[in-house]
Amino acid sequence: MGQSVEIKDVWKSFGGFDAVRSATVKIQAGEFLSLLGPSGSGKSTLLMMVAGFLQPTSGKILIGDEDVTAVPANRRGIGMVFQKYALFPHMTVFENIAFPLKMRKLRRSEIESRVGQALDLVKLRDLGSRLPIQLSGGQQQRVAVARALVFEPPVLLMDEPLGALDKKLREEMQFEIKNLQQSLGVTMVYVTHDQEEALTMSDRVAVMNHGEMQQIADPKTLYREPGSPFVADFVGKMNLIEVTYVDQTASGALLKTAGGNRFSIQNLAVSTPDPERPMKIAARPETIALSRRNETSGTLLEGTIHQCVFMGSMTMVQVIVGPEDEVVYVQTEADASYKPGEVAYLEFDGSRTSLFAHGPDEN
Amino acid sequence: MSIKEPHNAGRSDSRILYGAGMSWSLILPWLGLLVVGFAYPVFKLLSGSFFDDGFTLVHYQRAVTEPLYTAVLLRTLRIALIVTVCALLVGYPIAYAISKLVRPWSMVVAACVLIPFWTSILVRSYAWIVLLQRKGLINTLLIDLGVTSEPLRLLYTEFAVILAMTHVLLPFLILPVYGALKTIPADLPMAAYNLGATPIKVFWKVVFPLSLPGVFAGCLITFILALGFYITPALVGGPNSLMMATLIGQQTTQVLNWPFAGALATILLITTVVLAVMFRTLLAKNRGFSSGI
Repeated sequence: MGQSVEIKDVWKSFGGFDAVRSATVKIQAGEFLSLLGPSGSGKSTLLMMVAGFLQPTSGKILIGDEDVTAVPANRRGIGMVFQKYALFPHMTVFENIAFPLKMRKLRRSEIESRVGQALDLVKLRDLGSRLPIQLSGGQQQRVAVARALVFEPPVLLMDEPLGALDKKLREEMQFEIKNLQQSLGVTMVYVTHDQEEALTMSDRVAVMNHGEMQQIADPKTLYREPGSPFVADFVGKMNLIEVTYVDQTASGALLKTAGGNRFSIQNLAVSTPDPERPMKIAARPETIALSRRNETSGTLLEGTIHQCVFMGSMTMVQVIVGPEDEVVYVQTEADASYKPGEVAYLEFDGSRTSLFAHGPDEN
Repeated sequence: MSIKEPHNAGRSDSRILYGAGMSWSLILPWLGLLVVGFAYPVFKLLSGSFFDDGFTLVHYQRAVTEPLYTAVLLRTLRIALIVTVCALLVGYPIAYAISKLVRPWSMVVAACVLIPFWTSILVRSYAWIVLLQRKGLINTLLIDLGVTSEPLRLLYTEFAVILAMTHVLLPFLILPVYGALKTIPADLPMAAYNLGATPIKVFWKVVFPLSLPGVFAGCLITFILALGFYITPALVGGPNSLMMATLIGQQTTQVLNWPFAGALATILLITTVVLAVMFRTLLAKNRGFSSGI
């Protein structure tokens, strides 16, 4: 039932400001794609253009094989769930869900049976006669989903639909939405600023920043092989440490921190070994090993324990490296017993550490 | 559930900050003025209409039985109703425009509504006399255009009363409607449009029903003000467009029949209250989203 959505070199400018720059992505029929980014990254603007509320300054949007760039929103036939649900407060739940069917001039009996099915789908069978104000946040959310799906749109758009819910309900709804999307086979474009949500729900995630799509990849690739320092920092917890390249030694690439500490990383791929050029290494807390003794002598990064935070299944240790008080987060087993002020050594796993050139416009 | 919390929280905050004594001390001077300047004279006037050497209903009898007075009452109701409908038809699009236009333009249109609103009713009523009189702007224009050879009789007619009252009362309708339109979240019309509604359907199915609390409030205010309107009908109306307030004015200032004026005032007051209550009931039946006016 889903149809592909193709965004071709889409730009959107407001005055002189480019809110979206050259967005290009082909979303397969039935795929779940998240647009992930901080506020002001252009993800909502892009969604509004797919919905037809905004006209792209240039570029094309295709649904299936049809170019819909010039088609008004009310004739695109796309389902949409708004951030604050946008339920009509003067209509009952039934009337809200029946609205798109009435606009399509369906017969009354047909409308009744389809609204009934939609209510079943979101498990609100008995609440058809309530007004939106009489429902809880989670129930309103479900009505919004039912209303967006009842006319069987090939594409469903969601604009941060879970932002107003508390954490537990949010996680429940994540699974429900994902299941619904999969069982109906509808193509989903999902806007969120919550990287966890994007990772758990999506087939692919497009990370946006300053109006640009920085990386489009499946959640695993995004997490393990971030394409830019921004993606590395935005998705999951990431240590970014400024270094310069010194030499290639027997124990791997020898690097120097900004504070002058030397350390080496085994199996680290250095594409441009230029000692003049500042770089950043990116390593996840769970890929760094922490030890009390520098067994391989001089090749591990020395740091001072700042704080240990017990988090249930593990302990997050904050280690200060160098004189600039740069903090590195290291994930250790839950009952690790480091004390603040203690000296410890960090061992990086070269195969799970990324190296980025420290460009001038990087952020 | 959680949606209502901030609202209630705000209320209890002010209750914590200011005790009952503070509230009363703020209200008292105004309350005193109200009793001396309004409640007492109105009470005197009303009681005067019932008591004339003992209890009597003779003034009410006269007001109800003499055709002139019932005709004036019915005319007053009719004119107030027409004025309200005209104000709604003219005012709603203006309110809608102000709520839709972007910054400098919405201010310009709002100023066009508000500046006359701040101008004296007397001045605005005289302006209509200038426009509508035999050799006024409108007649001159019509003759110059060849629409008519003789100047039309526009002033001192019911038409003039309705026209001028609609103009004077327009802001009382525009402002509540604008307020209601402004509180409609932008994503509701967007959602309706997304769900397949044409722009016209978006308006009639979503925007208009949600603006109804403002429409009701505006109509109620306009209607009640129109019922008791004095200056404008007295200036631009003629003997054939006499309204209740003007009639009461005549009774007190020219005929000096205060008890009868009191009776007429009582009838007008009761009519107004009954209609206001009916309006409110209608508003309360409006499901779940009334503005509370």
